[in-house]
Amino acid sequence: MRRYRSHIALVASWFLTANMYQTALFVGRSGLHSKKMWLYMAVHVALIAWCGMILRAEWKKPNGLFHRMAQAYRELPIPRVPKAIFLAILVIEVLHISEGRIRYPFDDVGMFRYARKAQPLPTVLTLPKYFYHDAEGKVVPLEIRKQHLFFPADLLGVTYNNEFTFSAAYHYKGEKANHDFLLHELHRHAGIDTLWVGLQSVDYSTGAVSFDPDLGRACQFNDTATIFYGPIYVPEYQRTLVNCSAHIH
Amino acid sequence: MHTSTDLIRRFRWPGSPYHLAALRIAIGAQTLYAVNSKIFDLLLAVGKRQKVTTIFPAWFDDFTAAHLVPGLVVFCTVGAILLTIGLFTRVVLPLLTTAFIVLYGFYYLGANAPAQWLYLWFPLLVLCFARSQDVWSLDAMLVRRRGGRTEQDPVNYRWPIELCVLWFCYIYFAAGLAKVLPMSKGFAWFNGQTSKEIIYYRYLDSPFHYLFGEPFLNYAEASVIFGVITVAALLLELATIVLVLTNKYHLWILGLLVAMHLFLYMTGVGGFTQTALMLGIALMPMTWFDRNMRQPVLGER
Repeated sequence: MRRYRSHIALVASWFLTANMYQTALFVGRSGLHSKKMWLYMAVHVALIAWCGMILRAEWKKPNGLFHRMAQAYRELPIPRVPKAIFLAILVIEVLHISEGRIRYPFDDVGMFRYARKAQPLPTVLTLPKYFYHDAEGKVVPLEIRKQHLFFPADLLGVTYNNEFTFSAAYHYKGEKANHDFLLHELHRHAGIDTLWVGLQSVDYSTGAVSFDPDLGRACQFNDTATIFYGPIYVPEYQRTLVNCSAHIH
Repeated sequence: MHTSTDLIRRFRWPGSPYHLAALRIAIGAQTLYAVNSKIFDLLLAVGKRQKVTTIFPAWFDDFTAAHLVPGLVVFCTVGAILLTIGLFTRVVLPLLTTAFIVLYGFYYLGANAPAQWLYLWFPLLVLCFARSQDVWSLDAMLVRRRGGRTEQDPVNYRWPIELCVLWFCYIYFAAGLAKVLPMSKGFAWFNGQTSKEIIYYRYLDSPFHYLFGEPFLNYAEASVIFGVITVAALLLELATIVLVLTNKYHLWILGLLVAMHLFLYMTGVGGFTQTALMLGIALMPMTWFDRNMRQPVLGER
């Protein structure tokens, strides 16, 4: 253990600094004023100072950790210029991880980092979704996210990949331009000329999945309910058809 | 005699030109797939951005969105094809890397997701300085036709592979760290609610729904399964640090991460299985690509 003391001190000092910085961001300015938080931060500062003393002693050693790190870097069989570039990228990435932020293309890879309070969710999940009528007039829900999966994709081609379907189904589903783009592509590939709005539901207590093509109910729900990634775009003429003109969002 | 197989020592091991060429071909093919996405047309049509930043100045982001995107798509498509077949590789790579980073900067501003670019930009940059075109390429064929020799010191084929291993480790280890930092939030993350909400809200747009028609259990209620999934994913992500310490568990880690991505894919979080497998080529034994090579025995070099 003693052999790795300086290694541990180096990693610990970085981790504690990153934790302190991100805690300050997480609790905000008001949260920093509590006694508990002062104590928490003081413990961090004390531990970082302790690590600093170990590392200072290591810095002075002729064959210490930093000396060995520099030697290992010099001996890497990578040409000098790319080696310096890769080292710079590594340092910048570590800084971004410490900060917990992304500045493209440097990334802390913080997908799904948010923590939620444990709580039960509504048994029935309802989402507004586009649908179309097939050749026999049957109602078919438009499964946008299905289109990026190689085998079940039934309407669009291989270039309509995950990135496309995610933005079309979630990020920009409330935009008229998204609806128009989707409709244009669906018309080109599958001959679909109208996208209507319906409601798809899953009752998690029974496992039943249902689809309600009633435009009026869908429009009203879309305008009033809290929906995952927000409401979907409903074309104006469809709103007029069912007298649904209240834009709550 | 050493018994260590850590990354620093592995940099000095001999590599295989075929292993590196396989990685080049996979990166080229994946880049071709990534730049031919309809997402660019959609983002141009919508014309909106997320609240995110890039390293580029704002005027450059605006200029890219206004003038460069269609041209960059064509340029990257041609470059990715040339990279895959290994023609004019040394010239193509720096141009393709630059164009790809600029193009995906536009994507990131519109979609705020680390899809494709996170796995591709650094390996592309590594290939700019590597000799990935020495075999399985038209460049090598042309050189041999003129009577030249392409293959070099085997160490030159090793360090690009190990840098990609390091990048693979960074992606997952950083993802694990992001979930526990800051620690005051990290403990809350273990309750499994985040995993539960992902599965709950995306069910209707997931392959689990498309294939099986109904949910396996009541996702609305608390279940120990969500906590188990959460802890397992976190431990697996943090375990990728082992890739730096030794090469003994490369295949185990790659297999488990691909399995994790397949599960996420089934829950509606797609887009990462393919890229993980592509970069995962660096984690595969070089004997899979080059039967004449043998893995360095412990103690060598």
